[in-house]
Amino acid sequence: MISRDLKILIADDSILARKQLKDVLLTAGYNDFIEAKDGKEAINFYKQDKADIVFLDIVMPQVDGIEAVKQIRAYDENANIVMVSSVGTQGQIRSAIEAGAKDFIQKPFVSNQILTVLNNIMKGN
Amino acid sequence: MFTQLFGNYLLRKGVVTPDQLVSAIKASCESHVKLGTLCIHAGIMSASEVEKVYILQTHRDARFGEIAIEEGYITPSQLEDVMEDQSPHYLVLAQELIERGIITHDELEKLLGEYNKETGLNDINVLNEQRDQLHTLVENFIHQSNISRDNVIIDYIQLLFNDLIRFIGDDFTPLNLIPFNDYKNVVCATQEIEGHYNISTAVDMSEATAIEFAKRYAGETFTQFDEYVSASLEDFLNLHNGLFLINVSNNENIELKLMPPLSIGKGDLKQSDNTYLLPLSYTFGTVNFLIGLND
Repeated sequence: MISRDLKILIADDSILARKQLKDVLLTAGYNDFIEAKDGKEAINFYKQDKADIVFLDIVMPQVDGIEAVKQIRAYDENANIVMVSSVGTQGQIRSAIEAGAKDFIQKPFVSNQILTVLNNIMKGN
Repeated sequence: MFTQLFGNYLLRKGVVTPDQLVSAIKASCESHVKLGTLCIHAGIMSASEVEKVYILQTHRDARFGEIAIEEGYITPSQLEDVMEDQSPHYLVLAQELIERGIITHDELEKLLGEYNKETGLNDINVLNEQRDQLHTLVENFIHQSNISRDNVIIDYIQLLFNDLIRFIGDDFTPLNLIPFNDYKNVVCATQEIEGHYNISTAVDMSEATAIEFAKRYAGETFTQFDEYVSASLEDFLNLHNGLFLINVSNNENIELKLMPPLSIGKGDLKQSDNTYLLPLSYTFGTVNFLIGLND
């Protein structure tokens, strides 16, 4: 059983995408969120207040998602990061995983994908 | 996609006016017989069972047929039989135009024949999932606008039509693609694709149209123009362009770079020399796409 007390960092430049992801997690019982609107904010917020899991978009202003993964993992090698992006090319997925992301979800996502990935990561799979 | 491009053909031939076409599309969407109704008509489901499936559909991301099978109301083979009886959407639209006295049955037959000849398609009834034939249709559509038949733009527009049907709805007709150098935008989102191909993309519409577009895209109830509506335009463009990058990566082994989408202030859109305007006449308003091919 995964604790519903997880602190979840959601980084996406789209206010709508952040809301849609948050809605899925709220419905599943999670309610502790930090929201970042670009990669730079995501890195800073993670350093200020370490999240249990991070959902990161790839195409973002300031610092993109791949670079944000690298910097967050350099700060905390155990960081749990999941990419959520519309650009699921083989190259992007490879770059994300090599940078330290634990999974990749292609947009548009369905609720179950988010919750399954979250459960697997928090169980250590 | 045949319905949308056949609509464009009817406009091009002057058989219908844009207003007549939009009105007929609206009516044909409403008269498009729902699967539930067909199941009742076929005597394989009761009205209360159909109602129950509609309610379940509001809580789940599943199709009517999938739920009806899961609930044990129908078998997969019964579903297949009913689906086969559904008329193609373009025929429902054509029926609507005939009933309104805009065209006759004879004219429809002739127009379909001429359109098939123009596009080189022999059997429009087998179009649905056949990529090569859809490519031919879009190629023909672009050729009418005297634009070089570059495979990149054909693939981009074919995917755009698919994504619009998938995420917004199929009740639109594409108007002709035209070169445009002085476009004045209203509510606009833009996004650049960079790399082996450099493509500037934008979607623009009025505030009222943007609210309806966003409602359909996000599945939310928006009543006024706000940052969520604006984000919906950006998200659609980002999603479509992201899927285009995946196709290019898979088909050509080329990795392109997508820049973050941006919302642009009224009248602030900048275009390159090779920008084309693709207006799409939806039943809720006109959605304009701008596609710029840069060197």
